[in-house]
Amino acid sequence: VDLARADEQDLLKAIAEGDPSALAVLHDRHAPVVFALCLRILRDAQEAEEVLEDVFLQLWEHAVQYDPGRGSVIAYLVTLARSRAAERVRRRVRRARILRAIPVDATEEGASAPPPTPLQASLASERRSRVRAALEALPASQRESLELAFLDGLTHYEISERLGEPLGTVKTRIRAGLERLRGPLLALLDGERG
Amino acid sequence: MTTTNCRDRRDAIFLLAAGALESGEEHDVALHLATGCSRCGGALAEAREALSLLPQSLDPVALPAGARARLLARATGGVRAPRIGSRRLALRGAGIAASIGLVIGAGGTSLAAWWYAVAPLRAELADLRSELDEQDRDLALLEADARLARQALQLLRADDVEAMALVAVEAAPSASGRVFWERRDYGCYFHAEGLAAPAEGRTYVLWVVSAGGSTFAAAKFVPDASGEASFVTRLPRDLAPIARALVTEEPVAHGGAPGGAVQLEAGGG
Repeated sequence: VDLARADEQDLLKAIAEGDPSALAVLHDRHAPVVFALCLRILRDAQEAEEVLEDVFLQLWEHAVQYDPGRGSVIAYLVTLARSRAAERVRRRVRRARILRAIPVDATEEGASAPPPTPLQASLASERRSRVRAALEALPASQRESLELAFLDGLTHYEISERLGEPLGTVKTRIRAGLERLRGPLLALLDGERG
Repeated sequence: MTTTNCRDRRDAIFLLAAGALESGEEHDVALHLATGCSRCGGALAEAREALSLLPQSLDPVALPAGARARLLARATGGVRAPRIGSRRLALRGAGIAASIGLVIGAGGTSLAAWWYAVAPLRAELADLRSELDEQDRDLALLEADARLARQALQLLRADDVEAMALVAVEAAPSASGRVFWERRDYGCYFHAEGLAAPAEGRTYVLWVVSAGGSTFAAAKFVPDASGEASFVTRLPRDLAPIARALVTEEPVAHGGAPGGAVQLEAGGG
């Protein structure tokens, strides 16, 4: 089987059988987006790479139990990455509270996102622009809250603190934004499935 | 469950997948999903897939050099990459220890000065150790939760699963619960909420009663601080068919039949 052209089911099967080259192919396909998400949340390239590794290792170790009926591999990867990266940020905050005498970020550099990879699959590019268009169509306040939740990994409470808005207002905005996004996102999925 | 009801739940399921439902609404949808409704289960998977598109709107970012090789080394050789969190903690710990050494090495002008200089650093070291312990405990709890969730999901997905809704009785008017079991393998999943803590020296017991009247104490349990309890257990094969389930408050060393106050009950009528 030519793994580079294999579909996800074949790759998962190969991974479940312990073939690291199949893992490498999935890594090549999806890691740049997963890494972008980790970097956006963590603002630290080294930590972002650690989360990226953990997420792909999780796939490597549990490919046998992976149920394709529950969603695509990229959906699984970004969901897991968002959760793990956000948990690291919260842990960092807890640690900073404990170690307030020693500034946590004193030795850390801010995020410096490397330039985008030159190779972009056309489907991924089309997908990106359509999701962005759906986000752009939202009122700015809804979009801002949704981006903080889904791209920055903040809880509703943390968004409320960040924006200085009441928690109820944040929840209402997120809910209204999601209700407006639901149609375009599901339509995009339907369109990709043909 | 009618088709119309499931269709009406689509919006709520999308919000559930996004973590944007209020707890009351979430509870209702989750209870429905726990019945194994394939239509709504499919809608939940689709909603998760759609929501995963949001992070995919980000521009891909070039990985640090060697990222793939490091991943493959870990995957194939079991080599753990340096854990930055642990390393930072270790470095900070080492830094604090070095600071203590410097203070001692400087030959401090007095024992009191030395003590006052070192005490905060020792406290920080103790905090670090305490945080590591806390993280270990968090991890153990998460692993236990994940194990339970895996077992429960496996059971709920079985094609021969049956369920009973346990309703509140006078002793625990705000409680509710569900018990699921597999007809063939007799795995059993129980979840309840709204239960008060049992009295000192007492515990709750889940009993299941067969149509023939045999009674079996399926498990002892104590709810958590929020009044919830979930567990997976196994029932005896000769108990079929199950006609009744109830939760009673009993002494820790209870007898073979329910004798204490009934908290939840199903199939009693």
